[in-house]
Amino acid sequence: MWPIGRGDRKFWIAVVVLSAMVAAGFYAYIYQLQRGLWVTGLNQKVSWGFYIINCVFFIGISYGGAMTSAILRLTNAKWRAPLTRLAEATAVAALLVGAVYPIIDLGRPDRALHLLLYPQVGSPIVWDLVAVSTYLVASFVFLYLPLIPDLAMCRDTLGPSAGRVRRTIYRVLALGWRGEPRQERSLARGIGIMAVLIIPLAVSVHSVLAWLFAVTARGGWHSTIFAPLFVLAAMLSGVAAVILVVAALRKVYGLQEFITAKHFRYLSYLLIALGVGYLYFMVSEYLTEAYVLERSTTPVLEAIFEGVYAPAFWVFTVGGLVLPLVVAALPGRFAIARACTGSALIIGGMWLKRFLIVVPGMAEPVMPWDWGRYAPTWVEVTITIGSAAAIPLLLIVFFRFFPAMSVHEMEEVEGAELRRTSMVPAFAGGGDE
Amino acid sequence: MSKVRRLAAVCGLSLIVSLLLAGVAVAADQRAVLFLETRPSAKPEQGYVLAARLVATDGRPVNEATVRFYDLVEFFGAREMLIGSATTDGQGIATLTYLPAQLGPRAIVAKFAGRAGVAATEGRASLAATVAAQPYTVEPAPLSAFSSKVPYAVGAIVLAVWALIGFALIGTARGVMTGARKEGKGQTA
Repeated sequence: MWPIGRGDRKFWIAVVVLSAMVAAGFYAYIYQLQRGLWVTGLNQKVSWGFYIINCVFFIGISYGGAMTSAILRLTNAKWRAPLTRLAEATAVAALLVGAVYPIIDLGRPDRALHLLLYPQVGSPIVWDLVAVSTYLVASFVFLYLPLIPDLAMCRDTLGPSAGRVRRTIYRVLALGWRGEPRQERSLARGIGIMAVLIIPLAVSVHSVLAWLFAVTARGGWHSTIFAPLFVLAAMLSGVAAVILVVAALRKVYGLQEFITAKHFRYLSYLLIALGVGYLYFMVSEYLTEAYVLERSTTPVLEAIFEGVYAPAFWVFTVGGLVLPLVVAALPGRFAIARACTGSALIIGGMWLKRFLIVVPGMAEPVMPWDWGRYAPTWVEVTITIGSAAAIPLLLIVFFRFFPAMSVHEMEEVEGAELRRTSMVPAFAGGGDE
Repeated sequence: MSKVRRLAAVCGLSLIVSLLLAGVAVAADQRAVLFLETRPSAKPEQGYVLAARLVATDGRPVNEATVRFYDLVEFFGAREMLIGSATTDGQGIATLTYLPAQLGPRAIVAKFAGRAGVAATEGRASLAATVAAQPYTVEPAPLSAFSSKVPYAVGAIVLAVWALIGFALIGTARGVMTGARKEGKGQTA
């Protein structure tokens, strides 16, 4: 059990291991910054690679987390209570990581400021910045508002061992919450507005990301269905990420009493619905393109279906989409294990899918040249691993200071008399150390 | 030996003849003079007429000669910007209409590169441009009237979204804090 309070041994081991991975990624970035982009596999023909793939991938995961929470809130799903905080925190952590990637992709990161100093309103990149920054702020607010009652709980129940600074932070952020009806109404209204707002915001972010590709005249990118395809892909990978995060923290924090197989079954239903929807959109895209076989699209389709990218495509389609859906849909026991297996496969598959979108579209020659080639270097791989490690690091550090589940919401929605001490034991004892 | 002498004499004679012929050829490249003048075009919007007259030193006009016209400009240093070329007529006159890109004094150069019998030459003239080409304007793209308004519409939506986020955050904070104060007063009373 890792309660709120000072870290135990497992916590510090996890922090050290993850921090080392993040530090390795940071070192690789400094190395790239000092020497330039030639240390990556990016080149004149394939100038988008791992960094843009990761940007789309991590922002997609963020989107799925926010959407999961928002949809469950708006549909008033009773089983949502133990999951919403985890989904919202995952959304913020993944977004913080994903939003950094466009800057990593720049050989001269200082020139990112030019987007603000000399914006071209006709450029999708400017609107991408606007959408991502708006979504980031909204995600923070969406995470913070439901946290207010729990912050008040921390303020009231944490003992002196929490330290003056932390108690002051809890007191300030709790805004004097006492659970009065007037306060409840204000909070419910604020959360309701954000739950409604976060959905179109998240859709807009991923649509703008899709349009960065779709408004170009490149084969495999110039597709009218790209925006909804990206949105569905983001939701699918996001829900899969939420399942994995929930399963991991359930195990680590010992939340089996509150997060049961039922929650995983319901999340699996959501995963299956999104997966089937994505499969339909993907077939629709490829079918229309492969039937018309436009001059710019045909080489890309050939490369994907039967060329150099065919292994990645078929591994994604079978192993990363169809198989996980079947695994998640199977009836019977081991719902949690099946949900986690399916989710892990989907996350891997959706990363491959982003690779299949970005790289072949770039590698196809638009001039009478040879095909471009792209192979990532250790710099890109290390930065990718480091950034992936940053998400669990941010989550475990965050949940070291704030409750992993919304206690207030669980009491409200499930009407359960929760044993707060069992959820956050340090509250009662003033720390477990 | 006499054969050798004869051969040497023939070679020497050939050399002398060749030199003489070459001298005649060189002497055949007559010097020419290029007179350049500029004047406003009959249609003011067309700019100026650059008229170059190419005459040999004996006063005869040189026809069918290509004359190139340059505008001396400052572009990373002094450079000759080619305006265009024209061919001289029976009077030895080549004309070109030129609409400068900028107003003000300009130096124009006309150059004749030379040809068999006529040596290369050039002439210069100044031009005080009071008429210049209109700045380049982009032709309106299809749907431009519509697309030019789209950023404003999207910008308005973004502002509305930020206002809603602000309302949700500040409104909730105010509501919670007000509720806390009222509760505090109630407890005091």
